[in-house]
Amino acid sequence: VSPLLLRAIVAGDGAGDAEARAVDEARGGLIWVAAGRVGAWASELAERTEPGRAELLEHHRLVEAVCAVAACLPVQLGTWASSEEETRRLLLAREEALVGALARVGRRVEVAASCLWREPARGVAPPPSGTHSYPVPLPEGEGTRQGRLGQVEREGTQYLRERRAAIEAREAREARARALAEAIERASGATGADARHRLCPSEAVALSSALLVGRDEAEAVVGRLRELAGQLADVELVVNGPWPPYSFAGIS
Amino acid sequence: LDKERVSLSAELPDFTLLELADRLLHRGVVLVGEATISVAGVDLIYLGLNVVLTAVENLRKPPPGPA
Repeated sequence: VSPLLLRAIVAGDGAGDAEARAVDEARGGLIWVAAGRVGAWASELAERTEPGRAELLEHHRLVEAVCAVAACLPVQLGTWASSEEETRRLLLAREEALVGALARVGRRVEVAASCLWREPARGVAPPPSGTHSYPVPLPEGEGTRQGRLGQVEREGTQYLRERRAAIEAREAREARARALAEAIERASGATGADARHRLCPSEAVALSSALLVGRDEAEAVVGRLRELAGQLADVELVVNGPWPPYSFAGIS
Repeated sequence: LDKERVSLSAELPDFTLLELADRLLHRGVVLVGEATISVAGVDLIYLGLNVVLTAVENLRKPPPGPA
């Protein structure tokens, strides 16, 4: 019995002829495992190729093939079960939650919108709190030493100013990221639970958004977001998708 | 500023890969918790980091100069 690498979960009655044909055309060898009102498309792990980008993109391609023909919940890459029986047990243990998630997501797709800062952050990163010593620069070539009282006060004031400037700069960026998130919601029409945002997830990225939109609307949404991109001076708005609803497939 | 803009624009396909890798590896239905991190002895956390770090490295790499 080969272990199975799980790809996507669909409704149990979703493994109809059209779906099976579409998945077969994407790549033969996928296995259907039914479990009550849901089921999973999976690959035999023995067929797995070398890990890397190719495997990642292959998973994406297979999930896309399934989602193109049925309401689908992508499975996190790397999720596997030792057999069909174990797959069935895993699904049945979460049947209600999976049925609920499938109904919530439906045939909708995910559009990704990310904003990259055009300019690096200004100000200095605040030193970790609890730092009590302030290195004082000496003439060139002599390195630094801990300052005496007067120098420590001067350096301490400088430190506080820099720290305040850094905090203000960070807060300004977060406020800007929130405004961008609102603009993206207005342009896409995805709001509430259908829009998920991560503000300033890294130094280079202002905003990473996932938007759940109707399959038929996706092209228009992408177009409106690209129009918005042309109006933004301080960030570069990168629009990707439509993709399977990766960010909306979680179950509690 | 211009250099930064050119650098980011030139590497957008890698940023797209980064976004996709984040979704494939960290989102979607989780059925078996921590057991998902390793498949047949291959540590997928390592795979994920490798993909993501490569993408980040490319994102920061300056664009190639004229031939």
